[in-house]
Amino acid sequence: MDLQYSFSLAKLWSICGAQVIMLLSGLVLLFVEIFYKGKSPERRLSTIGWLTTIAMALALGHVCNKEWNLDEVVFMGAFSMEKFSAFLVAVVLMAGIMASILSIGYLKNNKIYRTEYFLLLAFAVYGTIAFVQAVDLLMIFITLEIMSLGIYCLAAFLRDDRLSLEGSLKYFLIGSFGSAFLLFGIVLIYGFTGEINLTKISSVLARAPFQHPMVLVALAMIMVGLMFKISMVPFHMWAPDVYEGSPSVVTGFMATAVKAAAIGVFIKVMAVGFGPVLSLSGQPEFYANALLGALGAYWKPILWWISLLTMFFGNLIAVNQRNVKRMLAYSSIAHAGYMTLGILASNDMGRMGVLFYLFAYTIMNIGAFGVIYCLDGQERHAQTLEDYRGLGYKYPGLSFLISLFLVAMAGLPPTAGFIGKFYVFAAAIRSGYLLLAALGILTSVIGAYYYLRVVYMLYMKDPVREISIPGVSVSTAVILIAAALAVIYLGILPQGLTDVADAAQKTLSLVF
Amino acid sequence: MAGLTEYVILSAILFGLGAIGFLTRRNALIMFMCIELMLNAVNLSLVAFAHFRVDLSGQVLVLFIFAVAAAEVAVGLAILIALFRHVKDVDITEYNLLKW
Amino acid sequence: MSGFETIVMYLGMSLLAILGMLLISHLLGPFRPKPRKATTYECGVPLLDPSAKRYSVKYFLVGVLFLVFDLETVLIYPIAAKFKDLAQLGWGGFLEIFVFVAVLLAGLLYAIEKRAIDWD
Repeated sequence: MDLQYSFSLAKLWSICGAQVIMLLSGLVLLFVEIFYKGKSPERRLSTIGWLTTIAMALALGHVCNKEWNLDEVVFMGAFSMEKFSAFLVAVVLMAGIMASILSIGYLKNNKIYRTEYFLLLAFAVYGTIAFVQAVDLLMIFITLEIMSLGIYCLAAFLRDDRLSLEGSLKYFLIGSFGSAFLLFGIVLIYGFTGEINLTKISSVLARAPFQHPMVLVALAMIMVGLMFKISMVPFHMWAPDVYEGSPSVVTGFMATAVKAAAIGVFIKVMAVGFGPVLSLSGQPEFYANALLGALGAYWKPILWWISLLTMFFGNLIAVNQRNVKRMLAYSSIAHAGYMTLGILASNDMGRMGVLFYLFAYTIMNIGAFGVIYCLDGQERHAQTLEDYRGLGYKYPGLSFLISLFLVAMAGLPPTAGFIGKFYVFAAAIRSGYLLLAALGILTSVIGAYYYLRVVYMLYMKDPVREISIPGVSVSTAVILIAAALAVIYLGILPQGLTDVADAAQKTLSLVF
Repeated sequence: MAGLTEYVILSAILFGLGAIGFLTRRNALIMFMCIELMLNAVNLSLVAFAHFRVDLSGQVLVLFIFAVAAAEVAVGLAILIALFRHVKDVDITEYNLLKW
Repeated sequence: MSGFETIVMYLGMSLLAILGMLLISHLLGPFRPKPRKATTYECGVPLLDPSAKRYSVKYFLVGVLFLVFDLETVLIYPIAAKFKDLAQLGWGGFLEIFVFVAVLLAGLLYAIEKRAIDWD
């Protein structure tokens, strides 16, 4: 390694503070988990769960207070903390906090008192944060693996349940396959430029013949590797199985945090490492020509088709699903398609829209999976559409909440989902992708059908079998209600968040 | 004396073999091995690049990839063994409860 | 011929060392032969048994732990190779290794406390 970077603890704390907090608290939790016996398994579970939550809340506080305004944003050429990363880190931590609070109730419902769960969650969150912050291709690979390994284990956490393990194994196999591609792309780009740092890669590429086949192959492979994680069609095959098999709360976490991180890194890699135009002509060109500059001619048509396929495929197959979790898996594929539209638009509004969308999507998706676990009681007790018939009158609160989240995902006003979709589509139209935006809106109409069908089942049908659910704990209820309020608030007054997201995406060029 | 191109071609071939093996084989353990083959193909080209560029960072990267691959295998095998307790088979076509 | 003497000396030294060790263990060690001990490889594993044999799942756990910790230590080598350069930058490099080893140690302690490497 070159030793040109100087180490200082103050910089480490200000730039990677959230990571440090998560890593240290993860290590502390290791020992708490061993030595703390607790009065009863339930008490032990909730204590460790709350400790994990507190650690994440501390990290979130650190990000919001300190890391939002930094003069120096890159730490030893490996991690960056500009507002763009800070925004995504905050989204990931928010998802982590919601997931860990919901997990306490989830694990109690399923009578699982193995507290390793929270360690895995803490380390997965740590990996995800580091993944978002990484500006070095090696770091991107390693942190991607830290994140994924945590998630694989969480997905397999119901170890007496064959579906959970089956989903996890599929995720593992396909995820490793995808990261091998990412790695090969990284190595090719290293071979061509001799650098693994994104900023240096971009400046080398700017001086080199960047249409070299090796660069293009590397670009394609890195894209494929990240698309596996974002679950874009045709690299989505694992998603439905894994989402259905995993514990509901874990599904919520990986559908949001992992996807948000992967999309953030996707934007970063494309905009930065492969944006030679930026280095040649500076800022204005970067914003006008946007992502990837001259290489855009190669990846944009591909992304056009991928976006279209992702939106259509996700929405069409979701119509045919009977299991609500599986349906939401396909819906999350479709959401990835909408976000791809924002990446493709690659203007200010598009990136802002993607960030806004990720924020809103995180809240409503974890909210929806939270309600699913509440209605489920024990995992796979009641999660098909038939089970949801007539629940609207028996459990009005939960039914209202899930209806709200589903309506938000369908993108109906006045919810956050509508605003997110609006910005993404508007950005695509502004960049001249009129046809794609029109087709996207068409698919989102298909989407509305299956989201609203669940609401229809809840309120308009008579129950076919008796569903009894255990009580909902106070903390779970608070999280779900807060998520619902946030979804409505952002739908009515999106201004605050759009300003923040806009400020965040403008700083993307600060890293370089 | 093999040049850089030969090494890269060899590693691309190994990577391709790993990918084809992953896609065609049905034994989960052999699929693990194919993933390892892919990662090691990457390592080979990484060492070749680092050698011809006289740059140490590539060789350090190889060690990182080793460590990550080991962790990956540990987790993957653990999941596979847990699943094996239910299915008593490592043929991935037997893992068919989740579909469509 | 120069250099050959050193090889002879080296071979002689190693021969002496081997003989010395054999002699010392013969003098000091107790001699209690058992059939199991008289086998070719004295490592506790039966020499001849069917290959399709069932292993205890604990063996796998130990194996995986060994694999992980063995390969993590590989990461210390580059630091050792570059330590002179690293030392010029002050304590940062040392701190990094320290943190790395501490994290590994925490993992090891966790594995021990969870009784992952206890056979029974």
